[in-house]
Amino acid sequence: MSRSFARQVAIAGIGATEFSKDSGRSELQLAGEAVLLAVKDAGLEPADVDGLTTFTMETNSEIEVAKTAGLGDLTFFSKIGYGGGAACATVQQAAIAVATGVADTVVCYRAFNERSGHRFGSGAHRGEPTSEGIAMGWVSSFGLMTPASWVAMFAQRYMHEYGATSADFGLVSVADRKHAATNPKAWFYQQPITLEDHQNSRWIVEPLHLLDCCQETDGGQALVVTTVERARDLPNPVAVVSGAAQGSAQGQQSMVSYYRDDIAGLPEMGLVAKQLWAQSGLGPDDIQTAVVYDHFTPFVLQQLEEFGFCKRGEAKDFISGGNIELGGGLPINTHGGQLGEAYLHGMNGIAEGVRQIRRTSVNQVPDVENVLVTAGTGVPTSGCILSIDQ
Amino acid sequence: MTNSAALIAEARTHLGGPPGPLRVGRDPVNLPMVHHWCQALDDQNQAYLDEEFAAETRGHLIAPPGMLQTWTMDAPRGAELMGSNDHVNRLLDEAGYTSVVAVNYEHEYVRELQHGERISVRSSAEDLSEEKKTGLGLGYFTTVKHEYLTDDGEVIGIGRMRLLKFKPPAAAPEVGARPTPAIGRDNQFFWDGVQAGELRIGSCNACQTLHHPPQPICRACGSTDMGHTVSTGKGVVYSHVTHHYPKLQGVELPHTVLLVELEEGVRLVSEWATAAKPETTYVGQQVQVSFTPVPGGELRPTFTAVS
Repeated sequence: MSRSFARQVAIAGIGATEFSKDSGRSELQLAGEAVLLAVKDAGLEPADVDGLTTFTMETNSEIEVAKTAGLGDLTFFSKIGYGGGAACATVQQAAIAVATGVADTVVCYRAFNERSGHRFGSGAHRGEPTSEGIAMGWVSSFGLMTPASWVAMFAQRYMHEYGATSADFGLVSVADRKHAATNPKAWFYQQPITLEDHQNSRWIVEPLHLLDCCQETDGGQALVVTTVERARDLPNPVAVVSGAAQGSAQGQQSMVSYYRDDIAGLPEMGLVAKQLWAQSGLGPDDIQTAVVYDHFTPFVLQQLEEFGFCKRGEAKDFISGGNIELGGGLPINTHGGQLGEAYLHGMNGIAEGVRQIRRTSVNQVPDVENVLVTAGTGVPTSGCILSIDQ
Repeated sequence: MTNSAALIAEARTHLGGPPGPLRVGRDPVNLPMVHHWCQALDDQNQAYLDEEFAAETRGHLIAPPGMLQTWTMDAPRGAELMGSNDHVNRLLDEAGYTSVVAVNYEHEYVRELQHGERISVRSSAEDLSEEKKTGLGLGYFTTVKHEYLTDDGEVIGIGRMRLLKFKPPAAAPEVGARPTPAIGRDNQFFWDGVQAGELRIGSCNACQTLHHPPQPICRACGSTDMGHTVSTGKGVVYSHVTHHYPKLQGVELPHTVLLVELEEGVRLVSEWATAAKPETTYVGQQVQVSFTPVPGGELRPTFTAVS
């Protein structure tokens, strides 16, 4: 396989709004118009776009632009730092994505009211609110302000549609804490809980109890990625990346995608699952253990369903009887998860995936060949599969 | 029996008990005070003010009956002797019902008063209600009987004053003002609608697709010609949560947040109108929009349950 994207990708469309001192419309509208004009110039439809890349300074998030411009599901989205320095890097990242098949059609964009809104040269930020600020206002101004409450809204609907109960969510907590109890690095080392403890823990946001919610952690986690060839010359057993994918599904919002037809699933994770199985050539039966993102217990159930470990609505049965604990059919979060070990926004889970492949986990699952690791739920998300070097 | 219940039971033993000491009015019934009264109340009854008319009809000037209480208002009070009503009030205070508000005052007039008569009053406890839940707080209605007498002991009027002795409710926790929504070009119409008492939904003028939250470009047809329609405000609860922890600025806890599906087919996050929060919240509950203030006083589109 060639390791260069050079001469493999092209810029097929360009589009811009007029350039003025007072656009008379929102920054979001400018971004949406520019994206649509570029797509039209390329002779494509908005739904063909499956990647977006922009600057960290951009106020219009990829999901707001995707929603506004009516783009399709996104399998690639990235933001690049350092102001104007990011400009050609958007092309580089788009090229990497397209050359590797991560996405077929990536749009690079940047839009703002730099003169009539916040004057870029003035420093301090004031003026027209950002599209992300407006998006948050639809929930925060009604008192829906915390991650637990955002997730609880999905959980309540999931319970209503599939008959899952708080005790079902509790099984995730019990499994995580059981695994944390034997992991000396875990915050909750030697502190397992019972389902009764879970049910008796106080309400945070009904229907979520305290023990449905992960802790907050101070810490850091880093990973080194290189070629398999190079890794083979290095000291550790190789953890091969069999697949890695992003997903942002239609109607995506940050934590509050309440406006889709169905809110009892996690379509962005379904999008990740589809890509991971395609990239790796694997399926649910090939996974011996998984690190399933667990900032809040309910979304663990939906993720198991989106990856096809069980059917929609049947995760409550799948996780019962110790099936997700060590010794069960699919032990999950063998480090204790974010509920038990630490909440490093999923990065510590990837490390546990590596340890399982290296066969060095304190809660080692026998004969591990492939580990699924998922990332944050409720937001545009990602996942990867790590495998032993065959 | 709780301490409070014991105190109330003791208070009841004083009902119908002996009145406190007689309090003697400082001045006898007199024309200058009648003048003040009549002027204040714009009462021009000739029997109070015109000596000739009064002589013909009553034989002499009389005092307005309504002045009954005024003749003893500044009567000196002996602090050492307590009547049955003082005991009732003391016991209610001890039980925590420390605040007081007058409810009503009834007078019975036995005969008309003439100038020069000196009036005294004695007061006793007549009635004490069961505990009542009132808008001011939990409390007891007490009835005090005031007997008005002349110097020779003739009862010339009776006043019954009903008071509410109540527990001042704990001051509402100071939660601060609810965060203000960010308002920009793309959602100004929605919040203007809230001020106008309308629940507005973004709609595409080209293809009529509805959008909530609104957006500047139609996701269905790409048009930038966006308008809005006014919702009927009828919908059902699609999902809901009740927030307990942590404390939030501008939110009284526990706080129920609703995800309402409007009959037009779009959903929005909202909450119960403060004064109309039902006992239970459930998926499928029928609701209707109303525009009510949240802590800090800003209006929000809120919902009430429809039976």
